[in-house]
Amino acid sequence: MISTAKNTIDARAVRAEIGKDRLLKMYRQMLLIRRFEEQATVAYEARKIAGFLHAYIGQEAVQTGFYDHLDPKRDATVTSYRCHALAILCGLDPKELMAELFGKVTGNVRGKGGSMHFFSKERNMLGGHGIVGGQIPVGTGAAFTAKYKKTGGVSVTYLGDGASPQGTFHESLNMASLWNLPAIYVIENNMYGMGTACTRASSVQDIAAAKAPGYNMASFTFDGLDLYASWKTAQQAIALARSGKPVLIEAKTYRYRGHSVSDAATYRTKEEVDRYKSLDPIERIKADLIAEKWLTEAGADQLYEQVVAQIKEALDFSEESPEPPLSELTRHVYAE
Amino acid sequence: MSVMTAPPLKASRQIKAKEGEPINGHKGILLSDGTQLVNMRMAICQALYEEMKRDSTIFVMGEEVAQYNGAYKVTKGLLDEFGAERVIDTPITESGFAGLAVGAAMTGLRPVIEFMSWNFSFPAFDQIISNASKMCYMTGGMFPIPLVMRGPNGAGPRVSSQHSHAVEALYSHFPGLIVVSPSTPYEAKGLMKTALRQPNPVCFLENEMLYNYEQDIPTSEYLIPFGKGDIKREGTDCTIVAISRSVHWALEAAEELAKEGISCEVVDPRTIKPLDIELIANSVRKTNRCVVVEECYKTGGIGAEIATQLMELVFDDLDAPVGRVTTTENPMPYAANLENETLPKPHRIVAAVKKACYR
Amino acid sequence: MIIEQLVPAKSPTMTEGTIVAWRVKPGDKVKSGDVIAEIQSDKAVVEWEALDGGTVAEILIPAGAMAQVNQVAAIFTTKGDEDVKAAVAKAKETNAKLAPGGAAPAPAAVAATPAAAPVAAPVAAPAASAPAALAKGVRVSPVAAKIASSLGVDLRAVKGTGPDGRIVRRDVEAAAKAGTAKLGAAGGAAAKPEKPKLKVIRADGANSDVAMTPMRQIIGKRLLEAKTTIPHFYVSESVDAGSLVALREQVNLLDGFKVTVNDLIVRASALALRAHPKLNATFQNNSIRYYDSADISVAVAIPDGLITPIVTKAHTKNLKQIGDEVRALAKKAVEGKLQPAEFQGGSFTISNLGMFGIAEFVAIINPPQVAILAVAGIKDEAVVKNGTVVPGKVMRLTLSADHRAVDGADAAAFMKTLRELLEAPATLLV
Repeated sequence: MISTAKNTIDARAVRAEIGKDRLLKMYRQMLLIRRFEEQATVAYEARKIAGFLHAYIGQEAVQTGFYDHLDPKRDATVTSYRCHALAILCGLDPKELMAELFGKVTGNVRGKGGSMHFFSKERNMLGGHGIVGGQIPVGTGAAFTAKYKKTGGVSVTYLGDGASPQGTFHESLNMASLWNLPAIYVIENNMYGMGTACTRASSVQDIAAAKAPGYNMASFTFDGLDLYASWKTAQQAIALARSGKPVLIEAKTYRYRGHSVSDAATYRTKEEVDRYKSLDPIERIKADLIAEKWLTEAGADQLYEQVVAQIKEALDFSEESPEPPLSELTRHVYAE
Repeated sequence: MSVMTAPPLKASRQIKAKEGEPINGHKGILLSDGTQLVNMRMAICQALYEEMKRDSTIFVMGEEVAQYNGAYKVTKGLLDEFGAERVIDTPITESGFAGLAVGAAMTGLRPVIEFMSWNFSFPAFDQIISNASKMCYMTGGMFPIPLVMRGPNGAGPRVSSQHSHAVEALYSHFPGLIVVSPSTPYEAKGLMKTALRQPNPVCFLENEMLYNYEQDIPTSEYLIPFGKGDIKREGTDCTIVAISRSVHWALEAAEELAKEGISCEVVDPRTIKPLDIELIANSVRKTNRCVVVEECYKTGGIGAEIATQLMELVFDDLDAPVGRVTTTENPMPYAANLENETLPKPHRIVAAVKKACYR
Repeated sequence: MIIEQLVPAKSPTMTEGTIVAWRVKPGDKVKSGDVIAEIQSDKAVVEWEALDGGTVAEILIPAGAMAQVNQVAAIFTTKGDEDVKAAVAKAKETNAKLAPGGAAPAPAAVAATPAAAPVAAPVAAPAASAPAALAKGVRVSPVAAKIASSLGVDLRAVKGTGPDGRIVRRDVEAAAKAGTAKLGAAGGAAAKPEKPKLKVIRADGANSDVAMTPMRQIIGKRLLEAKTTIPHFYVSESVDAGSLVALREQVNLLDGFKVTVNDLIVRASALALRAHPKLNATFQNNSIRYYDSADISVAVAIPDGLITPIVTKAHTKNLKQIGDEVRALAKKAVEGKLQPAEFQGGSFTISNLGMFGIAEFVAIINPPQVAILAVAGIKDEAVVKNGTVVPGKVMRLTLSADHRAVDGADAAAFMKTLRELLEAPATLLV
């Protein structure tokens, strides 16, 4: 099965609206996310990283298109354990993120969280959550705060298709709609909740379209492999949310790799994976940038080398950083 | 009056206005000696009222807390005073509003959520444990969670198996949570005010059967710190550590035992986490004997914890094994006689103290 | 840029694997995400996707070879002008270090002489304030022990009033007040400290060579021959020993009677052998000799060996006779006073390790006999009676038989009879 979302947007028009600078920025962000995930996987397989590691490879266009519209001063974001991309989009330094994966004290949360728990107070990123669906009420709470404090902000809560059957999804959407919270819920439907296909886990396949009416909410469904669709949907949804209307969104996307590094993903065919890879969101944007003459081949190579160097620097930094001192063991159990 | 020591309790009766209606809400009855008469629910309401006046980030949320004035009338009058933006009725959605409160706490607010009873905190267990209790630690201190979760705890009157849990032991198991168990209106108010000015998630365990207990408390402001217990009765032969409603049963038992020449010291730790083990240990150094009374179950209960800590701290001062009087290990039965035997009532405390005293 | 493709850990527990096949060869261009090889991990054969693209310059670990995680399997380049040679040399060094037995950080060498293990003091030194020499079973509460020394009370002279006679605070205080138990006064009556019940098993010690005694040489020779030339087979049976134990207890209440489980088994075996003569036999190479009389050899452990004195005509003897005879023979055996006629011959052997509480064992046949019975200890076990699990006493018996003389059905029939006799032990009295 391939993405069912119909692209109703006019790519040319959206591209023009985005403009060269923003598109180049998003292209670079997607490259950085992918390189980070690839090198984290290499480091994992070299036993530098342990525990869980859930790569975002293939899904980059979804959160990248959204983040371009957000203002971290007032807008909050929260996601599941597949949280590296969001942290990078928030502008966190790959060095502190990679160091967290390495379990070093220089890491994003001082080596206490690991891969699933990236946070930023300054950038209003509320995690990084390890329990499927556990972050949905948290994102709802951020929207509650925005309304309570009248900041004009919104919250964007990302969740997987596998989280939509959880009770927190229902409870959160009901509250958000009941109280007109500026909350946006983005289901990143990558078609599998771990090894279970969405078709085997969800009573409906177009989750947002089917479920939003039950909460009296607006919904959007878009092709998550298409950055333009993501960007345009986000623009419309965020405008709605800022006016006090919560929105449910579904991105039809795909992850190239298994659920986590220890998942060989034998439940799907090679042909299926290859089909999605042929629609790679990063390659498509690169082709457009070159066609528009917003980027040359040489410029693309140069950009890629910059990204490679940045991640290399993050790996070196992580390697050299010290482990947390033992005094960290009981620190922060309670607030200081 | 010392801020640390609770004033004497009055017998349980309902404070009534002239028309015969019970008085709730935050306004106590001013007495000629400059103190005020309140019951437990009024004391808690007063703490909420005073702190909400001080701090506009505090909001109260839960089932029936606003228009209904609280299922147990603890939040009576707050809606009128603070409006629907700060006193919010929720759907029956414990996991949802507990998680919402975590998110609100992460983004600068100070939520107070009411579980209509702590039995209903179980649907929200994941939010309390995986999110509230862990957040500060797993964010390296970046996101403290200043959250107060409150509601009645322990056995209600004849409400049987699913509505009679005491959750002190359950929630104090997890690092990151603070567990408060007040036994008097005086303490409920002072501890609630502390809870509303500190940065950690607090399980504030009230007891439905104590809501009508009355006490004269100061009209001036006071706070009671966490981790400081109180000696409710002094004695020389046996220490009884009791929690929340059990404090009152322990005091009854102590009265009974005094007639037989056994002098009991009743210690109320007031907060289970942090636990004032030094106060308890010092009492046992004097009496050499100890019985712990609680509404939790025996296995892994607070008594198990206190007995172990006493063994670590004052082993050489013990004259007898530490006794435990707990809820018996069965779900709460409905039948009155069975319910009476299930709870750690005075007759069981008397027997346990006698055993510890070799009498 | 030089890219080292390190052998990935494809499962959380994988430390090494086999490169099953390469999907690329030197000169190939590879993109990130392309499969470059198949690896056999400890769980399955998995595809290895490159996460770093480039041109394949050199493959260092050939298909079919075993590889350690983090060894360099291949070297890629991203531009044409890199020094591949130097990279290969460096990679080979890395691989050698990571190879099993390579120069990888070795575990600390085992010390030539094992360090002396700390030996626990046989008796804990008494604490100054603790009662050092209380009689066995005397209990004292911690605070009573503490105040006893400060009040000068000798706990040995204090009677406890707590549960099980525990000396508690009030007892010490009363004794102090009465002045009846002053420290130093009751010293003479002090009981000696109990011997520790558990021995310290020393972890150190030296190896030693001890010459075999002639007895050991004979045992070794005979049993080696028996075990290697006789086609043994084994039949096991569980006996519900409840009645047996009860009977023994009853008999032993009679004045002058001392019957052991072993005596009962000798008696039962003798009767069973009469019913199943195929087991009451010796193997004579070309013939089998069946006996009328049940002459039962009973294995007896003696210093540095074992010997099998014989209860002759056991089927004709009652329990008391059997018991008296076995004990007399065993005593002689231990003293080395057995006459050859008392241990040579015999038509069947019983080896009993029940006194050690052994769960189950099998014995080697004592040639030229054709069978030996191994008797284990009686254990408290759950047994099913009338469809209900109840506490029971179970004894496991294993017969070793010589298949040249005995067949499985014969052995099974004998064991069935033996079990029936032991489970209805009144039959052993008549």
